Amino acid sequence: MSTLDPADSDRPGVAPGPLDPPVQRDRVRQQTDTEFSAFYREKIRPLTGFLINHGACVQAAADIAQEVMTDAYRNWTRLTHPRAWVHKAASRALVRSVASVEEPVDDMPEPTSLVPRPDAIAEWEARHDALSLLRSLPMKQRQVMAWTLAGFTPTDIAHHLGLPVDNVRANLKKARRTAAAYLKARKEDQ
Amino acid sequence: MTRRPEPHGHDQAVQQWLAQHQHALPRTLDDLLDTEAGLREILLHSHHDTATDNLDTVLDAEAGLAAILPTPRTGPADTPDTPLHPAETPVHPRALSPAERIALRNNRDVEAARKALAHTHDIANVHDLAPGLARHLARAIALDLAIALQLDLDLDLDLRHGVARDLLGARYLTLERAIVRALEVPGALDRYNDFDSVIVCALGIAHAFDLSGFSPLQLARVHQSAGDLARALDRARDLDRAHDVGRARGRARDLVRALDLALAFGFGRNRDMDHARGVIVAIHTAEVGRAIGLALDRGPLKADADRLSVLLDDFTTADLSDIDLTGVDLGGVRWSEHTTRWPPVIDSEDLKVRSDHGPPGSGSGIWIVRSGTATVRDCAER
Repeated sequence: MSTLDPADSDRPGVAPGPLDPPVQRDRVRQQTDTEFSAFYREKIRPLTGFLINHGACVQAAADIAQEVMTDAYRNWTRLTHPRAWVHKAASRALVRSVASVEEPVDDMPEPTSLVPRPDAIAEWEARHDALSLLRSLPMKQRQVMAWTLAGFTPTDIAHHLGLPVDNVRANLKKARRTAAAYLKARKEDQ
Repeated sequence: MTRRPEPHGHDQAVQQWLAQHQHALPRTLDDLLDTEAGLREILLHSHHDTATDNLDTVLDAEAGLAAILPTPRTGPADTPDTPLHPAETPVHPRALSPAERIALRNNRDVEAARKALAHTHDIANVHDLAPGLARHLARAIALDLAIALQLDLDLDLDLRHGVARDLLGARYLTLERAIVRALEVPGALDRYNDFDSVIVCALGIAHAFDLSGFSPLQLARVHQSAGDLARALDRARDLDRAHDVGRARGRARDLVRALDLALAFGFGRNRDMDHARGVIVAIHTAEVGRAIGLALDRGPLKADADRLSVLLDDFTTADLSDIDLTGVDLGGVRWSEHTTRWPPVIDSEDLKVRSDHGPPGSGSGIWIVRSGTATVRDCAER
């Protein structure tokens, strides 16, 4: 688990402690639920956006974000830096899902609790023209850009992705250069 | 505060454009995401746990159960040669209430494991299990197990030491080099405790599988690494995360079984296809049992595929009248128009429209809810 995220380093800790008596378990569970609910309400959208910036489609991003949040809830008392943890876990899960897709994907995604109206996704995506740029970037540049947009420094990103800091900066620079060219071309088209 | 890098000259416009995008992204996602429904889905686990704990204050379920049931039999997938750690006490299907079974049906891990089992079942039954397909199925479950192992083990440990970072870099090398790195790393990790070695092993195996293509020789090396993993897990079993360790150990052993199978087909050895089918289905079944154990914070549930189906789908004699089924997917539930008791919000006539008759021989008035057709919200709001 990362210790590199000052944004959530002061999360009140829940001592794991012995959990034998049901009353005590109830109390810990209530505290966990309260803390986790606040965290979920604040972070589920940025986390989904983080995965979308990685190049994931909205439905896959929401599914992964929800799975990671479920894992975070299950391990809540162990997490000291939940924001960094969910970002790292989500990033890994996305890479795995890309690497392991072997089954055909349905054309129309099914509604889920988190995304009740998948039919609205296409119209939503059309409103975000930066997505087409981000999706056109090579994987490494896209990853680095997504982490940067989520507010992590090159040093943080280097730690999370297991890359040298110089490599992260170089990829960020290339991604920005591509973005500049994209903007210029778009302006010329208009 | 986390700092952002300073913009350079012509990057200003890009910086501003991306900042606007990032600002708008979470806000506009409100149009698509139902945050409260997503949160309710996760907190369902908690409501279920609270209900279960409250029952514990008035019931001595274990004593009552022991007086009725025979000794639970050993499950098909985990090798039985190691005695169970006390904290790995298995769950017995008949000890679970209808409320618990409903909660399990809608647990994401259980649902995902069941889907994988059903998918494998369908493939294995519909097609003649050719060697190539058997090898594919064995490799697929091995990959899933390796990834699950990694998730089991890196939840609360910091992987940011140098060797693990090096290994992450191996993702971009060839498969062979990645596997060699995975095999070398545990030796290089002598200065860390066993868990670190285990995690790095799991990482190595998962990342090796992430890379496309493999040869029998390479698989053999992965297999050896999986064996190292299983042994390291045995050494780590006395650490205080017995559930996690127990689950990971079961997965490590099944990983070795899956790799054995994939290796046999990779080398073109003649293998009994029924045996291959049995091993693959048993491993997937064990994964469902482990997901159930995880959901209940217990050891894995030991049951074969038929008993799992009864546990999770058969509500023909269940009293569900006091259970909050809001938002619960009832697809696949077997119910009886005579003996299943539903909450008042459920209209059983409406539910029949969303159900098929049970198979011949299942008795009169038995229905099976069609997948993807019914939640309580659907039935109640019509």
